[in-house]
Amino acid sequence: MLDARFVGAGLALLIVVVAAPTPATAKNSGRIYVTNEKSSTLTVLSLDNQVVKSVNTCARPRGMHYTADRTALIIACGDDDTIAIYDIASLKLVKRYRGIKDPETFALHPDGKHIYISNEDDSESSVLDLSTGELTAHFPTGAEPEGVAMTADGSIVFVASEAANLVHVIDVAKGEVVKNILTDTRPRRFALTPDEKELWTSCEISGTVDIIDPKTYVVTGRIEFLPPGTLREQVTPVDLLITRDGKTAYVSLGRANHVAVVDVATRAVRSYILVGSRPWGLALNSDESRLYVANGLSDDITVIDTASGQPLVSVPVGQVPYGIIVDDR
Amino acid sequence: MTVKQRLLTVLILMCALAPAALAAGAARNVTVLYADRADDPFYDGARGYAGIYSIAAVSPYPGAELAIKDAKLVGEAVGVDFTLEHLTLDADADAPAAIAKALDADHAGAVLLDLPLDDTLKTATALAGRPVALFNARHRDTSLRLSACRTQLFHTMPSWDMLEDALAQGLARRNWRRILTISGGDAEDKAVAAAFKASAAKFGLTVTAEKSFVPGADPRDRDKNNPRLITAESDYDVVFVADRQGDFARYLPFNTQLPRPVVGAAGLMPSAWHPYWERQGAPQLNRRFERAAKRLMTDLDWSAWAAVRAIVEATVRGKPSDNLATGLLDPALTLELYKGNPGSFRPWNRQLRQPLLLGSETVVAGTAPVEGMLHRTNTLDTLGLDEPEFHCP
Repeated sequence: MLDARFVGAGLALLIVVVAAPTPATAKNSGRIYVTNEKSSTLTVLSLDNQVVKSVNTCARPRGMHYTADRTALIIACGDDDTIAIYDIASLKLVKRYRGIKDPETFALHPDGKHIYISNEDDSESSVLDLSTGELTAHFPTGAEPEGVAMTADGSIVFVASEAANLVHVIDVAKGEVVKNILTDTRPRRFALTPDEKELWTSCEISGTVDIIDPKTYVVTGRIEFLPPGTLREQVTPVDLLITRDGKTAYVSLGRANHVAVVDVATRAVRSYILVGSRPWGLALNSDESRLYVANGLSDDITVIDTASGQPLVSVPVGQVPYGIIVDDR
Repeated sequence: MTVKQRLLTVLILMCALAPAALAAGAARNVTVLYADRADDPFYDGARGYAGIYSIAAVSPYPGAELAIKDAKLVGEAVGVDFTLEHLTLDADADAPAAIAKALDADHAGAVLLDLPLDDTLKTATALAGRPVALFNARHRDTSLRLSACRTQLFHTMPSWDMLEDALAQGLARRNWRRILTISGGDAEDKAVAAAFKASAAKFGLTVTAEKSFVPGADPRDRDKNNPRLITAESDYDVVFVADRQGDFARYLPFNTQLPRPVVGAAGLMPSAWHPYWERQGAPQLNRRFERAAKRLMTDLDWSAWAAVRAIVEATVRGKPSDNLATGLLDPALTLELYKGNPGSFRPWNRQLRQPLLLGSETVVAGTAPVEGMLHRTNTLDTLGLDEPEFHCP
């Protein structure tokens, strides 16, 4: 009994450390955060697009999300097998989980406690309990798993395997992969429509977005892209976002150096916006008036005014920017 | 296990699997045969003096194995079980007969031919009528693309004309346009030098002089074996060297009369793959290979991997009734090659379309097709013999 209480107390302490490392004032820091995978840094910008500072992080930071209370950033560092937590107010490392093999991206479960990670080099998806630091589950995937998406109720997790051309469907309650969906070539990342009737999946090498029915696990549609003046093989879609109203999707087109604006209902491309070199990571601010694009091969981010569809400014950040978070609410 | 026993095993395996494949819902088996030959001189390697240097090719079998391993889950998703069978022919075995024997008449499979050039052509010719896809993942000879153009032989290793086109594009892009060429005396060196000369003309480079070298240090031959004397004449931007053995080429950089870069068999070299290629997902493939094979991935390994990858992709995307060779030639095939552009096969000679890398020992300094290179259908067809230029004899 005593032992159990001790363990319980320890756990509670850990949860406190993880969940509330800083005062609540850290929320809405009015900053933009960018992970730079090659320089292993986090660039911090103000909302008027000025670089405020750059801090060193763990090695090869890529995927990044808030903690449940939005006071800290969880960052996946592939080259030192780490998931690290950085306090937003102080930008200090508050916790690190080691021995997580080559994490690339992840999704936070609505319980605020578990993250579902793609372990790129290990051909698996693992589940980390942020409160205990334990890996509580491992799911086999095809080689090079990348994008992770989750239904809002946290019951189903989707993981894309780049090399196997598969989307793996994990049933959280059952604790197993219940389906492997064959997609177009090199599936990378996901966006779920707000009504969760469509799972948009970028397929990098085929230059397409496959639309999967998240209930039947069948590919029901395919969108092709060709910005003016580009060749088919330059079109390599990676990141994608769908606005809160479920009407507009943004798709970064990699080597084609454009972002596509897509009408979700008709699946027609409305326009293409020229950005920097090899755009991947995308983020919207809270009122969705600004789209931020990480240009991996020009080491900068492009800020787009979504109303006019015009790029406003490009700001140099670190080497090979990957993920962006806009903390403005 | 003798070769005969092994053949028997393969046959029994195929017979056993054929009825299973007919059963509704059962996983279909697709067997890839990897055929090599005992005591193949290609893998003997050339010993360098005092052991400090050798160009020993190593069997790319682990490349094929990796692609089969990668195919496991996607195979499960579509109900196909991919297996790899390693068939090592006796040193004196008749290759076409032995391979034909290993293939069941009704079994539409695939064979990777890791065999000498002569065996490869003979086998391709002998099996031309069978519903089987054959793969050359080893020979760069442009002549093999011509002589086997009516067979079922697919090529994943780029040919010399592709490699030299890539190099010439890279030089044109850098505006290094005046080239001194130096070639060794063996047939391959001459063919490579001729390929480069054609590529230079294709992309607007000028060959200022064509020289040859003789290995050794005989003072009576000094104008043929001394790098400085060979490179002493007219000015040039770059020295191109063709040297299969590589022992002359490796001493050429930093030893030219003029301070000029060396390309070809040393310095900046064109290749299908590079262990330090850092874009397009390549680090993941390189690391996976290195973990499995305990060595770096060469272009031979990559070509064997690409062959099996193509077989898997054509099988997964096609219908079970499809002939594999037909599926491989599907223009909609988009192979992920970890080099950016999607790969597919040229219908006129079954050569894999692919970007190529330009690198030194330690770095990839460029890729081809270079930026700005245009083509009416696919920029990858700026590398190597394009359809209008290719005449199947």
